[in-house]
Parts: sequence; C-alpha cells; structure tokens
Amino acid sequence: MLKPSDGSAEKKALREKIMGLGDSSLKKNYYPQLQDQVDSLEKAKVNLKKAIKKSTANESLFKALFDNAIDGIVLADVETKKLDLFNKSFLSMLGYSSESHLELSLYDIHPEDKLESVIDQFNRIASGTTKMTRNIPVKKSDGSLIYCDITGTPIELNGRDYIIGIFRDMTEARKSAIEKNAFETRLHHIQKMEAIGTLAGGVAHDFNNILTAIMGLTELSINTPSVVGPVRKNLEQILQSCYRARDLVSQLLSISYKGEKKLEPLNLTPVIKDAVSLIRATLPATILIRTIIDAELDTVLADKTQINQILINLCTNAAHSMDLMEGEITIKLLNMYIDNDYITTHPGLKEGWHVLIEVTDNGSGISPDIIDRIFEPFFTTKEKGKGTGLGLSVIHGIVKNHKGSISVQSEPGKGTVFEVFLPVTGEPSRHMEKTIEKPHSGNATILLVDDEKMLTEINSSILESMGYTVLTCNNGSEALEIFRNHPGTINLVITDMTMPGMTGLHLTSEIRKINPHIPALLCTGFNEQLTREKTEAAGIYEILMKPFTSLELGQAIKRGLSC
Amino acid sequence: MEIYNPFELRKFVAPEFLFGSGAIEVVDRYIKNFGVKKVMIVTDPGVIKAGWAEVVERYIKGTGTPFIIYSNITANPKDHEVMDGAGTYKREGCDMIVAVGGGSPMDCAKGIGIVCTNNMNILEFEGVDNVPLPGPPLICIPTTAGTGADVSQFAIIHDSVRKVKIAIISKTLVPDVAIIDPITTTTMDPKLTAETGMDALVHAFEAYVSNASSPVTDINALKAVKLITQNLVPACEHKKDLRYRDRMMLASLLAGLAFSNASLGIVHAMAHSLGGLLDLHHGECNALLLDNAVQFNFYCAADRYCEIAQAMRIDTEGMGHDRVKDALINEICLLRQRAGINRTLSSLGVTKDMIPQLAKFAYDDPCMVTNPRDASISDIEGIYAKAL
Repeated sequence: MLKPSDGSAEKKALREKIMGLGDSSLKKNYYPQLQDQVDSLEKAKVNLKKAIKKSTANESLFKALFDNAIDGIVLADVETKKLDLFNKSFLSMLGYSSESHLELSLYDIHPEDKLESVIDQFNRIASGTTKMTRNIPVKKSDGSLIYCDITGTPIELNGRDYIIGIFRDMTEARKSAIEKNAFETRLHHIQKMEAIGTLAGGVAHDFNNILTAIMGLTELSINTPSVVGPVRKNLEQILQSCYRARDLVSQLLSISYKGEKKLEPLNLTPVIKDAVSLIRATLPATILIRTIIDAELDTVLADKTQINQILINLCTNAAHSMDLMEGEITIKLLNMYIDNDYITTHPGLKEGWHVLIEVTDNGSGISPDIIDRIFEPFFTTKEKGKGTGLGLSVIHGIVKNHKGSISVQSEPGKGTVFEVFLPVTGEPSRHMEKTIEKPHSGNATILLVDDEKMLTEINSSILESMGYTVLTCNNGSEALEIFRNHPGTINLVITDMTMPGMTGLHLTSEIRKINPHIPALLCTGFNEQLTREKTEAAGIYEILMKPFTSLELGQAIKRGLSC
Repeated sequence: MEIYNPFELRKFVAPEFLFGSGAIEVVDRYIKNFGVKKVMIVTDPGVIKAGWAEVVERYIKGTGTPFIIYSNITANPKDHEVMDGAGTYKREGCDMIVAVGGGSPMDCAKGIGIVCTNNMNILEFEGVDNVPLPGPPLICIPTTAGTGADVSQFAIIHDSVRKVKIAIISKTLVPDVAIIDPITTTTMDPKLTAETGMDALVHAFEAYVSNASSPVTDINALKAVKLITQNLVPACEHKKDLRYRDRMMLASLLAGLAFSNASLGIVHAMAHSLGGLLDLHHGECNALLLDNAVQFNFYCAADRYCEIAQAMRIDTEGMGHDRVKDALINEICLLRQRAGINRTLSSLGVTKDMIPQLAKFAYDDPCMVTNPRDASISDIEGIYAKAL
C-alpha cells in the first residue's frame, strides 16, 4: 500500500474521493426516485379508480335522468347546429323511433319559415343573453308541428361549444289556454247579454204600463164621436206611434229572454220550409237559397213566430252582406248530439240531442274586431235608419229563451256561418187551431184588477165602451172581497200580474177556489216567473201582454167568455 | 512483497462491458433494452471516415429507434463542442447517447450527458465528485485501443478560454455499457496505434504506482503492461492482424479499469497541461513524458517499478533499484522508438518559456494527488525541461 505523497488533509480527501470513498462518490441510485414514481403512480391509480367509480356513478345518474326525463333533452353543437345527443323523450316527442340511428340538426326539427328566428334565439342562448324561449314551433317526423318551451344552457365539452336544450311540449297547454280564453270570452259575453236583458226587461215593464195608458186614453178619445177633424188625425198618429213603441218594447223583451211567448212542441221541418218560402219571396232572385233538411228528431219546444223571426233575421242579414246582389244562402236543419266536451266550449247547452239550424252565406263576412259585439242590442254596421241593431240581439234572446245556443264563425270576404242549437223535446207536437177573432162587444160583468189606478180607469172605460159592466179595484184582497160580495154576478176576471200584497196568479187561484169555472185573463208587462204550467195551474186561460189594443182586449175577453 | 492496509476500504467501479470481435454487432440489443425514444450518436469525422459510425447507425436503424449524429468534435474535445452537442441533444429530444470513437467523442458524450441532465455548463463540473446527477444512458464503443474512456470515471475537456484541459472525475461518468470490439481498431494507422497504445501503457504504469492502487487494479495494470510490451509494435506493423489488435484492445480495457479506480499520476497531469496549451495528441505527450516521470518517481515506488519492469520482460534478477530503473527507462524508450514515436516535446512546438505555465497547470491537475511522489512546480518544470 502506497501512502499519499503529501499528508495534507485536502489531498487526502481528494484521494479518497478519487478512490470512490467520498460522501458523493457513489453511482447515482435511482431507486428512491423510482419508488416515488411508483408510489405516485399507485396513488394515481387509486385516484383514477375512485374517479372512474365516481364518474360511472355520475354517468348512471345522468343517464337515468336523461333517459327518464319527460322533457326532451338535446346536446346541440353551436357551430354546426347538429344534435349530437338526444334522449328518448325527445325522439318520441317528435315521433321518431328510438331505435333509429338518426342524424338531426336544428334545420331538421324546425319549420323552414321559422328557422331564421329559431337560429337567432339559439345564438342568443349560446351567447348567454337568454335562457328560455317560448312557443317555438318544432317539426315532427310526419311534418306536423308542436310548440315547445325550450330552456338552453351553453356548455363547453372537449373544446367545443354546445347548448344543452330542454324541450317541453306546450302544444296541449297552449290549446287549453286558447280554449279557456275563448270560453271566458263567451261566458263574459253571456253575462253581458244577460245584464242587458235584465235592464231591457225592467225598462220594458214600466214602459208598457205607460204605453197602455197612452194607448187606452187615445183609443177612448178616438172613440168619442165628437172628436173629429185634425184632432182625430193627431190622435190616430199618436196611436200609430204607440203601436211602433209597443213593437220595440216587445223586441226588447225578446232580448231579455223573458217574453211571454208560450213554447209548444213544434216540428221544425215544416216551419223551416214555410219560412224559406217566405224568405225566397222577399229576397232578390239573384240570391240562391239552398235548403238541406235532414233531422229525424225535429221536435223542439218553440214558438213558431220566433223561429220564423230567427230565420228571417239571419237570412236578411246574409242578403245584406251580399248587398242584395248575388250570392248563396244555405239553410240546414240537422240533428246533433251534444256531449260534455262540446258543452265545455259552448256554455248554456245541455247534453243530449239537438237540432242545428245552420245559416251559411258567402257574403262579405264579419270583421274579427267586431264579431264579439254583434249580439249586443243596438250594435249595427248598417247606415243610420237602415237597421235598429236589434236583429241579432233579438235572435240571441229568442235562442236563449228556447234553452238553445247560437254561435257564429266568419271570415271577411268569404262568408259567415250562424249555428243555432235547440234541444230536441220528447213531447209530441200539438197543432193548435186558432179561430179568427173578430172585434167584440158584450154585456157580461167583468172584475178588473190593476194596482195602477190610471190603467184601471182607462181599461174600465174601454170595457164599458164595449158594453161590459166593470167592477174595478187596485189590489188582490179587495178584488177577492168584491168577488165574494157578488156571487154569480161576475162572468170574467181581468187581473194585473205584479201587484203589491197578492200577485195576479195568487188572486186567480183564490177566486177559482170560490168559483172554479170563472175565466181569468192575466195582463202583464212581463213576468219572469210566468210559465205555461204555472198560469194553467192557477186557472188563467190567457195572458195578455201590455200594452194591448182595445181590439186585442176585446178578443181576449171573448175567448174567455166562450170557454 | 507488499502488505495492504486491511483497514482501508476498496472500491472498484466498472460498466457492463462486452468484449470481443463482433461485439459491435449486438449494439441493437442494448438500444432495444433501454427502450429509448431517440438516440444521439456522438462521433468524430475520423471515425465516420473509417466507417464505424455507419456500422453503428445501421444497427440502430434496425431497431427502428430514431437517431441523430453529432460529429462536430475535434481532438481534445472543447467545452463549446460539448455545449453545442448538449443543445442539439435537447433540441432533438434525445434520451440516450451512443459514443463511437476514441477518447475525444467518448469524453464529449459524457460531457453532453451531464450538461443535459444538470443544466449546467460543462466547466462547472471540474474536479472530483462535482456532478450532481448522472447523464442519460450511455453506450461507449471505442475504436482505438488506449483511451480507457469507455470504462472510466474520467472525462477530460478542453477549457478553450483558459487553454487548459480540465478533468471531470465522477462515478456518474462511468458509462452504462461498453461495447469493445477489437475489429474497430483495425482501421487505425501505425501512428495512432502507437500513440493510443502508449497512452494505455502510461495508464497501466500510473495506476500501478498510484497511491490509490488496490489489488484489483494492480492485476489489471500489470497484465496491461505485459500485453502492451509484447503486442504494441506488432500491432503497428500488422495493422489488420486481429491477434495483436485483440490483445492491445484487452490491454486498453485492463489499463482503463485500473486507472479508472486507482487514478493516475504526474505523466497525465503534465500531458493534460500540454494538451491544453498546445492541443497536442494526448498519447504522444504521455509517451514522451513517461521515461522522465519514472526517473522522478522511481524511488518512491521502487518495488512497484520493479514489478512493472518484470512485466516488461526485464530480467531484474539480482539487479539493484538503480539498475532496474535504468533498464526500465531504457525499455520504455526502446518500445517508444520501435512503435515509431521519435519526436521530442520541442519538436512538437514546446519551448522553454512555456514550461512555467505548463508546470503550474500540471501542478493543479487532480492526477497529481495519486502520484507516488509529491512534486513541486519546479520538479515538474525539471521533468518538462528534460523531455524537451
């Protein structure tokens, strides 16, 4: 062994290092680094496993949500507008089979004419400007459209921009909302019409009493032999005006559905046919009228005159919509079963068989902005003086009074369809023979009751002028008293309906307890409680609507006395 | 008879090496075994000209591993050549180096490797154990018989600014694999054969007399001396004779293993200084200095020099130290002469006035540490002067 040539510590250390004995004179050992790498890989492996497990769980959760969502879910590529992913609900919503391997894009699922706006909204979602778009038309596989509310969220996946879109089919909800809106409109309309009717009825009642007085006194004056020359002519003019006023009030009462008309079982087929012949005679020959009558069940509880009025008014309006020039009016009489579904959109009807009277024209049609108002009284598009604006409101009242329903559909320039539904009745039609009445005078004794003293006096004078003996009073109990005090003397009772204390009906039934054969005539402005059943049960043989002429009164009395 | 200190620890570091004719043909197995992405072949124009770089290329190609060639290297590899090579290595995304050639490409390859892994300048590694991290996998394929760089922990790099060769000594520099194929030395001309052979002889000499020698290095060193003494001259004369080439290559390997672990001495310290200043061939410098170094060291390791003399087939029977010394020096000079190295330092351009500077650098060389005799600067100057 050779010793270091120099004993210095520095040299010694250097020598040891050269010999490989220094602290750092070792070949590098990679094991610790390798072990670190292995450990970190192991850790990474464990973490990866955990991450995979979590990711698998997330994926299952996502898949369950995705597959079971009722809404349609899609993943749309912002750039290409392709749908890279869509769930089963989306496919079934659009009518595609879930088996098919589809390639869909925005261009496939929206109608072409709406694409520009849809893509505009798509871009707004992509830019985060908006999150939801409503009522977007979506094209199904068969080309039909549904309407969806779409909620969109922009998302970046693997460096690409996407939108997650959630489609909710709002087509049914939209339809329901429209129907509900229409229903509410109709209901509102009905309520308005009822309010107008009530008002008109109330006015008519008082107005009729006033007219009765004017007419009565005027007739009395005319019948006075000493009244001659210009005064007589004036009185005759007053009477003519009264008649017109009475007709107007009568129409107002129709609007209120509270007319006095008796509804009888009526076969509509002949009624319609008669009405059509009448209409054909009055309209220009250039207007073609077609009739389609196909109703096995044509019996309804109706007033023939009013049914005629419905047809005449509708056809007249139709002819006017053609400026009385050329055109075609079709009148149909059909049967239709109204079910619950139909009732939901046509309030006022009841389930069962109905006749449908349909009047269709190819005239000018009705503008959508006024169609809701056409049944309102005094609403008219005709020039001043050419129409009262009561025609359709009268029809409306009549139809309501017949427990029916009327609706209209119209397209400007193409024409209008009016549909009148009336419930079919099981009662057999009765053919009422009516004898022709003549002006009458007699010598019977009549008890006349009216709470309006003036009317009692006027009518008493009229009756006396006809030769009758008249006993008068102004309330029910007094009338009963008079009747009791004159047994066998009184041949007929004429009573007002609405009186304080005792109504005309009540009075009649009381009197008929004393004398069951005594004929009773009921006079009324209008009375909503009056039905044929009620008046017949009380023993009233006829109702006379105020105001009436002396002729009408005389004829009514004669019919009573001949019972 | 020497007695080793049983309490001093001994270490022997060596790479895996594959020795024998045709070894170069299995380079592909090693490449595959490392499983790397891209190989940098470090070589020099002379080796390329001899065709050995191309052979290596062919085998690497066969593995399908991409590779690049870096051959911008001169003798006594310069610091900037190393840094330039490291830049190329990183830029190209290489992860392995195969050095093919003599000491220059192999030392340069070692330098490129450690520069890349440590992100430091090559000059920062100067000295012993100054390399924090080892370089990437390195396979050395020597094409000269003498350098020993293929198995050593040394890298000698020329500091182009200070004009000095620095020694980097670190276990991290020991290559991973040495593929030592004597056939590759058959392309060397007699001069290169002689110079590199003499380098190997000096390795063996210095390792054997080194104060860090050990029984394992001794065996290798003595065997190397024997092999070189008998085969250097025939190898120079019979360029293609594989028998001599094989023995010279083995001698180079054994000498390399010996000096790598026992280190060197004053000859190398002085040769490094010469190479640094004048860019002279390292082997020739060693050859020209050896006899004078023996003269200087002899009595500090006389028994060892006697054993070397015996290994050189000098019959020392009955000789005193003085006679052995003279016989050994004579034998060295004779061998050198027969191998064709007949110049002197002055004929290589060394002048007297260079000596102080040369001596100063040599004095600071780490190889001086293991020289059997301490030398002062003036001692060294004296040796240079004698060798002029």
